[in-house]
Amino acid sequence: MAIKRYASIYLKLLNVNIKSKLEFAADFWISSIGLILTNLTSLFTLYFIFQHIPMLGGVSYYDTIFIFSFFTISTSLHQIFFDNIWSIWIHFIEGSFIKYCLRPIDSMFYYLTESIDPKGFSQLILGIALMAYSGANLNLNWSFINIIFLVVLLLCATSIYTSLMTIAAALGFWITDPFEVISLVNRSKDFGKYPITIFNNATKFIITFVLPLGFVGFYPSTFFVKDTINFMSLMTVPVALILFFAQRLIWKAGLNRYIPAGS
Amino acid sequence: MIQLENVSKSFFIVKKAPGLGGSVKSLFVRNKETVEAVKKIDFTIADGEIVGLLGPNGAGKSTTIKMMTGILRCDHGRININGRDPFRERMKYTKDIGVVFGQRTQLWWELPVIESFDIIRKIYDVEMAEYNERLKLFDEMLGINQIIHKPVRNLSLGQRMLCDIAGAFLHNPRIAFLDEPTIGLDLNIKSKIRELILAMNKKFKTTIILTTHDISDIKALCERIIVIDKGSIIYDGNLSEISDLVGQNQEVGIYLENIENNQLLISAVQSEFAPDEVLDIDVREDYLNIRISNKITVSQLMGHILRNENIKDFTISEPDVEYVIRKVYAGELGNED
Repeated sequence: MAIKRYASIYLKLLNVNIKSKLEFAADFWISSIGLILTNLTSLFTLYFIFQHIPMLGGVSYYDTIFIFSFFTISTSLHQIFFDNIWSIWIHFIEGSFIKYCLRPIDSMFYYLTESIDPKGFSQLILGIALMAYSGANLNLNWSFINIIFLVVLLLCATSIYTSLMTIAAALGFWITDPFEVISLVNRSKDFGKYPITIFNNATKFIITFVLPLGFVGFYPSTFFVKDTINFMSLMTVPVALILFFAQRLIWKAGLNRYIPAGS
Repeated sequence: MIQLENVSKSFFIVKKAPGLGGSVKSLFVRNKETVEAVKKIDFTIADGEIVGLLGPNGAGKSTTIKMMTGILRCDHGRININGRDPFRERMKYTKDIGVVFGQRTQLWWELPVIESFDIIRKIYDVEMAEYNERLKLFDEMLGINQIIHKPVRNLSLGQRMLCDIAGAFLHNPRIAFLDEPTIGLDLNIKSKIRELILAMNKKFKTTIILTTHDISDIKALCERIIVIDKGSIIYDGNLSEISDLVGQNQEVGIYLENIENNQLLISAVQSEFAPDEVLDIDVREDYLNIRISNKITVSQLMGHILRNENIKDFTISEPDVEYVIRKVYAGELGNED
């Protein structure tokens, strides 16, 4: 019953948001092109590096591109559906977050679904193209079961990144201005985009256990690029579940002690 | 039914010494100070009442509204609205209320207004027939049909307010909290909003809790007002009896034969009577308005004036609501502490 109601509200929001965003065609195309160019720069960097070395941290060129594409898809999904979390700090500073507490729907749902960002679709398409390209060169076997795994792992990776951003945002219930924390998580996410083997041990530890950004790209994609099923790629699922519940608890605790700024 | 019993709320604020030194010091040593925003307030509001919540900025009005809408938890006391605790049962409680915070929209900023309305319909499970009937009524009263296809961000302040008010009443809430619903609006839109509020109250018995700094709003809408100052209730009762707050004052209007002598008369009156006897003297267009306390009588005042000047005419009146409310906002009434 509750799920049906939320689904109906969400579909409505999705529909009208996309419709209203696409009315600004110039806005959509310019930001889409910008997003793709940003991605292409990192891609060219990888390309030039591999002109000089055969392996990066023990990972081949096509494997690296595959990891990159997995990361691009999972973060694009975040960008399309949950990008609103990024601007929550404004509401904490201005005290306008109270708006989201005044209706009989979950405040996080209300906030996250307020805006949907279709320009992320351009990045999503780029990610899918890169995955097809690297997958073909790696001779990946796209069996039905592998596709199921791909979808589940991608959703888990998106959920992990969104949970980390939500936890950072929820700190705003305590510290008023969570901008720096949100921006730290956002800027650090690129650690998940490259083979983790290129980093030193301290960094590896941090992006595995502290701020598990390794699970947004690298770890889950090793499920496909390695011949044997590896433990860390499957850990993506429990990590996603733990972070999802942690994020709910932190948000709830924050909301309970929230004192809005201003009058 | 709204019941507040002995409700208090305090905030901690960090006190810091002035200057850069003080700021650096406050990073390590925090001097917390408690500010009592609301002190033991009590009131009961029955279904279908329209109540104005008044008080100067910083008096505790906003804190009270935030506790009543379930945003803030009270430190002490009990809040029971429609049989629920607004803070603990927020999800169920908010189904029955509509809220307008005049400064901020409750609609979806980027979406056309009509889509916001439709989302609200889904959130509150409003029946389609009832929803259409409401939209028709809102259009008749507010004329919003020409603007509801525009995104909220393209509306003027007045248009946005009309839509926000409509949005707050769309799901037939039992209580509507309207925090400064007419702030910054022109007279035409103000009167439309007032008419809608009155109509909702009459037709659907919606309880209205209103805060405003606009005296004409209060006069047009509120039978009962609750005045909050420095966190406490200083008046709760009929609007018409609010003049009791300033005691049995009277106003005397003096029309002099020779207007040039106004200043002479002012000094003559001021030298004869103490400041707590003659409260103030206002020079109006063609007369002097003298406000006296109950320490002297009108005849004492008139006797003195007639000894000094020749007058054409004079009037005597009770203090009006506007004067009292001005005093309240100026912080000149209320608890001394």
